[in-house]
Amino acid sequence: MSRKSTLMLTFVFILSIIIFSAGFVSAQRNIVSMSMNQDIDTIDPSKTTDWTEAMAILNIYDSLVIPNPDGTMAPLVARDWDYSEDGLNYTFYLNEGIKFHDGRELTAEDVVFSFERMLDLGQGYSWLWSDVVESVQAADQYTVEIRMQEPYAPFISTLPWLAILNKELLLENEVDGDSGQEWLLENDAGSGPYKFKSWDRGTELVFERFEDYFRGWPENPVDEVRARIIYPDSTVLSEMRTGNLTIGDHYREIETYNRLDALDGVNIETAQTGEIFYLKMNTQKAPVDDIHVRRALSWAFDYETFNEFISPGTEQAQGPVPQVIPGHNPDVFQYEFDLDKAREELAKSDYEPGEISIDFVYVEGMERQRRLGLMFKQDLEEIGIELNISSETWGRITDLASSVESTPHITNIYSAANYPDPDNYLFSAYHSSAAGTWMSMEWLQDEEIDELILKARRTMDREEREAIYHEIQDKLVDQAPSIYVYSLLKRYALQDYLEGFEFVPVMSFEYDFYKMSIAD
Amino acid sequence: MKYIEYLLKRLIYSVVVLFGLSVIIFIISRVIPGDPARMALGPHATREQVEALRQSMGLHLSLIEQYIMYITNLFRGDFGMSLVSRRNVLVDLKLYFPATLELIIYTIIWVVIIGVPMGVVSAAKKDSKVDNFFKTLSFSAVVAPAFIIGLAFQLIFGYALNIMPITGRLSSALSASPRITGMLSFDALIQGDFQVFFNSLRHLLLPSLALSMPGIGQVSRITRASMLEVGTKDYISVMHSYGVPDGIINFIYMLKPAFIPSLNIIGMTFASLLGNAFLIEQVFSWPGVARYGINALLKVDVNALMGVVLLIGAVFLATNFIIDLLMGLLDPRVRLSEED
Repeated sequence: MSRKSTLMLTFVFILSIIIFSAGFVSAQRNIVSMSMNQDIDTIDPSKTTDWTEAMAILNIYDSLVIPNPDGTMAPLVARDWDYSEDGLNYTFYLNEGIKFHDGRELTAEDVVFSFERMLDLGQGYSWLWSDVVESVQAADQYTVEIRMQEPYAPFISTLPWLAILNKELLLENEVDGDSGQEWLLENDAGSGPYKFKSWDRGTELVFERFEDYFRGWPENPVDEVRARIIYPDSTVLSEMRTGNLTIGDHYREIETYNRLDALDGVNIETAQTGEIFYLKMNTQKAPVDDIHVRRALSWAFDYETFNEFISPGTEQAQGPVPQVIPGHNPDVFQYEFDLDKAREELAKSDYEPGEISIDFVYVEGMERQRRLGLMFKQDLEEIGIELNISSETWGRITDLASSVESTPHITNIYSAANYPDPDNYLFSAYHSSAAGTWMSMEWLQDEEIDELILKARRTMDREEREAIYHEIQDKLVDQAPSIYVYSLLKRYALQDYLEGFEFVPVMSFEYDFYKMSIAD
Repeated sequence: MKYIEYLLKRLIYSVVVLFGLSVIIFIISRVIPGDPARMALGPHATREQVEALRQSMGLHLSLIEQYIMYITNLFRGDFGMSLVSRRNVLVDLKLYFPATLELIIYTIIWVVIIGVPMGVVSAAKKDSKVDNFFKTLSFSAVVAPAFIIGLAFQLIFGYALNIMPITGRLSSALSASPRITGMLSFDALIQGDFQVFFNSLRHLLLPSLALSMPGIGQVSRITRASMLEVGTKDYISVMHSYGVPDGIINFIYMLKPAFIPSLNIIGMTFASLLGNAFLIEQVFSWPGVARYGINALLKVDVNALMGVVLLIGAVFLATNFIIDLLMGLLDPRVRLSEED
């Protein structure tokens, strides 16, 4: 080897050592990092929609109440509340001495401001309240009074979505009357257990512990959280193995969790969730407008095979309200795979076997849904129903849903839990006034169901209300507007030194780092 | 025709092409299925909310009116609001474009310092074991998609060896140097922040190397072919007979004319990577403009989509223009033939 190339090699060698060592930063244990399969688009609480954003808001802001693992609500900023018998007036009594991250005290004025900002901007989760809340007022410094347009019994369980903003701070940073929208792109105005530290869009969001948090801190808390956007499952696997990641999120393939489970020091948590996967049938379009055809389809779906082989690790859903939601009817009828029963139902319909042809639409790129279609097609052929499988982009499906004529016979729809109340699943899917979105592709338009859903909304007594919900669930399953394929099991990969992780059946509220701690 | 005139003509063509591109993309982005306002507000938004957003975005106007509105705003430097990030698209582009540009600059560096010497050596040692080895290597590099190579790198250097970071641009513990270009490694270097500089190099190494593989393969093959062609020329034989050392002949006298076809490839690689780096950006969580563009497409974020395509188009044209300039400098015949 010539002298020149030896020199060159030495140079390259030294350079690579410098690069490898100089930029090395090691992981610390009280800093927790989690993966996310999705970008965060905004950290403005009045605009958030996705689970990643919900995770950020939950940790940076406080709300009046916070959901318990069983789906009921616990006090947070509000230490107590009561409501009038007619359900039109709510009064919330706030905790005193809650500090925002800038040191100001949280008062009733801030709650009023947050509500008004949410409704004025009309984005994010404002749909929860835009048609039900009449006015919000501060009775005194620590009392908030809310007047409703109409009784709305699930109201309390929607309140975790109302993050309380620091009014004065936002008004100080207002540009052209935008109520701080510009400023909130890169800052926080919260009182939550964590405060915003940095945000490298498309890569990671970092928030750090807020020392003066009003609920105090237990021992060995999580000091800093890095929420990192990681798309490939293999990267999650690598980073979990090396300890660079503390939490692997819940949107990974089952094989990935099996491999993660095999790693030393990594545990897999599993939780039954409030998220449902449906096959929605357009009840206004022949031939699925015929109740017997819909029942036949419900009997002809092979739930077991699907949940075992095509989507391993999911469980057949029992009716339209998931098991983890308070108000679920445990006695509701569950269809099972039985082609004889399907043939019986079909015989009662106006159609002969062999003359039914049904369009089946799944979301472009969803392999699992495509395989579901193929399985379903094969079984349906045996009872003389033809299934035409096609895929559409998600954008196209939202378009198709806007009119009865364009809504396909069957559409694959997956829906998340926004608030832990049966109303969340029933109103937006089956009430006539909610028709025209992807959640309501059944076009049910049934007066009796409409009436019952509204009646439940007006019934303030918990038990009475649950009885109505049980009745609705029975009636819906009888009418079979949707095939309830599965309720999702969520899996999480956690390093074993992380303690206190607990599943909560609202969106992504289980990523509550205040509850977690680091083992010694 | 004068060379200068030729260049001017190219410049004018570029503007026309850019205009055409804007029309096409505008129409395409407006006919993609999905209502942008509905997509932005989610399924639960009321009809009034959706309608209000449509009004404020001008979506209720005719296509021609919308286009004129868009172009007039564009000349004022207003790219419109992104529905996803809820800010002006220009702000987003300023953020994401440098990240991709930085990645591509390092990619091109790899292509030049690995691909070109590989080609030269292959040509000098034609049909030897080295040549065959490089041939195999080049072909595999061209056929294997860059993101597969990227995933393989992650598994080797992250999962198995755990010596390299496999996501992001910088370790969370460090904060980037004050922004000048937006390209972290250059900003750090200019301001003498060496820890950040080396850390960002570590983050850049795997994605840029993975991204450069197809380029390396192509460039080494093309360099080899044109080196062989140049090698048959009389003036090279003359140099050999004068006893000029092989290394000097290969790398100086032969490479200069043989480099021209490679330059073309490098230029095209540079421009096309802007849009095509998507999968690598996805795999390495790199906040680049290609990823931003694809997300905009999926979420029907029309303004962001327009912005990204126009930007990539402009860079494409600019690169072509610069390559024309460089070709003229490297090869006088290009200049002179235009002066007939």
